[in-house]
Amino acid sequence: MTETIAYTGRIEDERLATGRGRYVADLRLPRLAHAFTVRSVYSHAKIRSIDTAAAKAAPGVLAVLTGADLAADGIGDLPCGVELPKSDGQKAHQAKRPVLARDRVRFVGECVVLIVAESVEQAEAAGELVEIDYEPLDAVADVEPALASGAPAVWDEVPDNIAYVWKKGDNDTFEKAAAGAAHVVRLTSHVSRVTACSMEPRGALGLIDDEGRYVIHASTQGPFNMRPTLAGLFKVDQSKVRILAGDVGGSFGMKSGAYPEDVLVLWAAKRLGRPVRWISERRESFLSDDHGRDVHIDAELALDKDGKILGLRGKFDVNIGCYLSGRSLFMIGNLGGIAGVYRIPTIVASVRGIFTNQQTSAPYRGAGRPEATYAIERLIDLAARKMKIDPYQLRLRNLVPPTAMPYDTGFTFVYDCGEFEGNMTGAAELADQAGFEARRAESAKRGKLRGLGIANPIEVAGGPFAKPGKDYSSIRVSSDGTVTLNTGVMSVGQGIETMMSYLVAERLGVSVDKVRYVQGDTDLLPGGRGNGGSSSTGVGGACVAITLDNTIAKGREIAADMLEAKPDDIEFADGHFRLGGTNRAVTLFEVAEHAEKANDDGFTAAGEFQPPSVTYPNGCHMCEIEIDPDTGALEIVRYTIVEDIGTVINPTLARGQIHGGVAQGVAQAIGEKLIYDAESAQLSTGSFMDYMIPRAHDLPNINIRTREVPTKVNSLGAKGVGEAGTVGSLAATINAVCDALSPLGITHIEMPATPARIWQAIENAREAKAA
Amino acid sequence: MRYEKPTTVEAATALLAGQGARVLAGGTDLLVQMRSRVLSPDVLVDIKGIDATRKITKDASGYTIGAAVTGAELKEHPTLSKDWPGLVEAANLIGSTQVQGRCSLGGNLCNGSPAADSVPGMIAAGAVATIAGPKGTRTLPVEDIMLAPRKLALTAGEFIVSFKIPARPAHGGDAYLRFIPRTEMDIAVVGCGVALALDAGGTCTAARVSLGAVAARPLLVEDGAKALIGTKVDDAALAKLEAAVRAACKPIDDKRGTVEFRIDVAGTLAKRTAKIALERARKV
Ligand SMILES: Cc1cc2nc3c(=O)[nH]c(=O)nc-3n(C[C@H](O)[C@H](O)[C@H](O)COP(=O)(O)OP(=O)(O)OC[C@H]3O[C@@H](n4cnc5c(N)ncnc54)[C@H](O)[C@@H]3O)c2cc1C
Repeated sequence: MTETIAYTGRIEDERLATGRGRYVADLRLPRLAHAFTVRSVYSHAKIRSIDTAAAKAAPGVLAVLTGADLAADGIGDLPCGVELPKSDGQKAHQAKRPVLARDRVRFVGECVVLIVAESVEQAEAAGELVEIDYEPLDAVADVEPALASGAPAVWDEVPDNIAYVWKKGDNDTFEKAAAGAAHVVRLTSHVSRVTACSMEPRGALGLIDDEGRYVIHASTQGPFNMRPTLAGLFKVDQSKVRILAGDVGGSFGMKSGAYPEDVLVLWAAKRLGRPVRWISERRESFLSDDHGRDVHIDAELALDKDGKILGLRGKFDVNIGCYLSGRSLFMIGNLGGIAGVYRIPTIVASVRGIFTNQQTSAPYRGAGRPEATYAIERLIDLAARKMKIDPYQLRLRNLVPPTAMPYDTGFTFVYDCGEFEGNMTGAAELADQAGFEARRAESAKRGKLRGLGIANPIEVAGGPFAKPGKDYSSIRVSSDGTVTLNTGVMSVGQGIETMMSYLVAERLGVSVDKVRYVQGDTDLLPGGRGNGGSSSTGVGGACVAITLDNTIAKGREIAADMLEAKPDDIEFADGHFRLGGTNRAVTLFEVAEHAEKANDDGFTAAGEFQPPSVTYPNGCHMCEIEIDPDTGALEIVRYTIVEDIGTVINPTLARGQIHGGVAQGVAQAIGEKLIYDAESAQLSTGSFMDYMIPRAHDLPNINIRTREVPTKVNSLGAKGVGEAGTVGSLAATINAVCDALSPLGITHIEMPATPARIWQAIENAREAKAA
Repeated sequence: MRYEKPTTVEAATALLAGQGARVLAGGTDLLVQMRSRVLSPDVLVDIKGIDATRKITKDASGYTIGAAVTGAELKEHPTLSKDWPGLVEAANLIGSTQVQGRCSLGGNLCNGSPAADSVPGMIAAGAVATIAGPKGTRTLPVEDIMLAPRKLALTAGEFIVSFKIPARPAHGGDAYLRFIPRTEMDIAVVGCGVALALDAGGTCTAARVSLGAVAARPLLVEDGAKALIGTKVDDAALAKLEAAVRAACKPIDDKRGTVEFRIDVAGTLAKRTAKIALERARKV
């Protein structure tokens, strides 16, 4: 950066915190009609018939539409596109998600009937008049019953409920390593099913514009992902579809694809000739937002007598719910993280997607990365316990040193840089690891059990690994004294607007309030990554840096024209283009004025960036907890992170991302869980009364230190930060709980480590001892 | 639906005697239930216009607390928190700051949840409700009001005007603790209120022990009180209290915690609550 401007806080906060944000629910349009969807009350049933007569006659109702109407209008199902094989070696059954269920429903909450009315209340009231005759079918309530012999099939075409299988690595090599190993430890564990709980629920407003184009204002994190899907369903060219994402209040991967409701509002808008909006109620969010995680892990780690790791094998069964799409494959793309920050000579892993009568699952902050880190980091703790080696020491013994960089893990990933031992020693110091035993003793005096958990996460960012996604941006400098930036990545609340505006302001030498930030409009750029995969800074920010270079280059050409010089002789600094060695200069905005007179485009520049490869943020988490053995109550007393996210562009925003990430991981470890009834596959945790969302007092102050090891993959040196907090915190927290309980002989506890579960584990351990 | 805000007890009981009428106090339960269509009353009788439901008075015999006084107002009262800290803490556990500005003791009790936080606090303190009805006014101890979930001992047209809390004994103390598992937000898995009085020598002369959320209604645990009375509230007495509390629990086994877990935590919580009440009694 040429210059540093004092950071004065997030630009968007005042707007967002005072109710002036522009979310889908805030839009006011003339003749706006309102949509409500009647959802399946069964997890698995045939639809015999649907009677909509009474609903159609209800006050204010404009349309009552079913899957048959969709079919009549030629609108198909959301695409699947998965090419992986099933268990029989044949290509995966294209288990596509319908926009409205036709003859069969496959989860509780599936859209069956669309109602559009003059008001939301009228639409909802009419919904109660719809009569659907169901023939209930046996439900596949979870992964274990799905795989049992004689289980009902979610899809008749897939009798064993295995949607896809994927394998990598050589099993024989692992078997040999294990046979010669001094120790083999095994982890069988379930990473629970959770839901994103975005503060802004999903929502979409569809309209047909004057040119007959399909325009959708959507609460989405991926406008450019959504466009081809919608264009395909409506059988129009992509240029005939415009996606507009305004402010988005949280997404976490959950809002990265097109949902049935997005299609419905556009379809209804087309049929009615009126704009139509649907906003999710919170209870609908629980049922119908794509769920996250739900991965059953069976993994083994082989070590020699000195604790050197010889091999790792992992099997991952993912409960993908009832429909299949590219979004169901999150565990595969990011699985490379199971190699951790360690030298592991042989790694073999397999992933299976399992159909159940639950809502479809999809990427959720970390998307396979926390699961992978959880597997390796729990295994190391289990091994340390078994071998009576300090878990910290066992990790140190196996680290990949900086001298080994770039390091090929042998399992997909090639780490470009990282100083893992530095992370660990830094965290140990910051967490006062040396004083832990004294603190443990002090807790014991108060009748409490104290534990310390470590995790060394490393995750892929700015991917996918095979071919990182490209981002685009453009800049317009206007003679009115403003600079407008369009970005292909987007903020969903993290402060990207601020981070990007400062990048522009610093580089162009203008004050931040002169920068206008625009995102989420598919008309403005050729493409864009949207939000996801920790790529906003490392890819999107780096793309903006390129666009800034192009802006300055363009400005030098125009300035050269103005100053009657050669572009090469023009220097740019502090918002001025100057002829080298003279005091003849023009300002950025004078250049814009000149350009605007000369041509219609004015002073504009564009840029694109496709990273040559991915980046690997990494770090060390240390979680310290205290348990009340009489009640099982758990308190997180310290949380420390040393995180290498490469060059830190904005420390405040980076810390904010780490805080939020840790909160999400810790919450899953100690309380969040979606539970489906084992018989009926009804969601029994369908509201905030039953689903734990952490409160401020559930979380400690988080002690963060960043340790910058810049990457060379992009010009900023940034590695990405969005997922870092979550990737490490699942493992660190569960490791801490297990450490606290280890004096009682407890080696493992499943998440969520709720008081009841901890209490039960303690009871069982005491009974076992007594027996 | 009709909204009425009478200013006298008589006008309120007359309205409440009508079909489909319902008391509105803070509305933090009722409005939520109406929005989610659990209840749809024909007439909402807002009792906050009646002076007696909205004020706290103190005399030699104790406090009279209006049934619609809010949690925040209980806390702000100059002496109530000093005399009955357990009761105020129990009421202040309800919801968040926003909810505290609305929620009332009357609403908490009459909503009819076995897990209502302030109820064991009131029962331990020996609170007695003043109930107005078409036939006049009567009193009933708080532990006799809720019979089963959503079922109260109030008859048509009746509502609670206020609660009488006795004066704190010379060496008296009370406390309330609740235990919430993390899997859910607001409902106590166990709530325990203890009030006790000591003589000058530190022997317990009177005690009341109450439990919430471990049975179909909040409980007054007489055996728990007996375990403490006549003792110095030492470890042996606390062990007896724990046993009495465990014996009194009849929890439902649902996803909020298994039966054994609830019983066990109730016993532990009772001991801890009694210790706090004891500390407080010793200090005054
Ligand atoms: C976010 C949130 C968090 C909450 N957390 C807690 C918690 O932690 N613990 C807890 O115990 N509760 C909690 N609650 C529930 C609720 O706030 C309490 O029960 C509160 O005390 C109810 O008081 P109110 O004045 O708002 O009652 P209202 O909603 O006005 O009334 C509740 C019921 O009692 C009846 N009623 C009210 N007053 C009288 C009266 N004087 N005589 C006869 N009938 C009457 C009403 O008709 C209605 O049926 C929470 C609620 C919310 C929304």
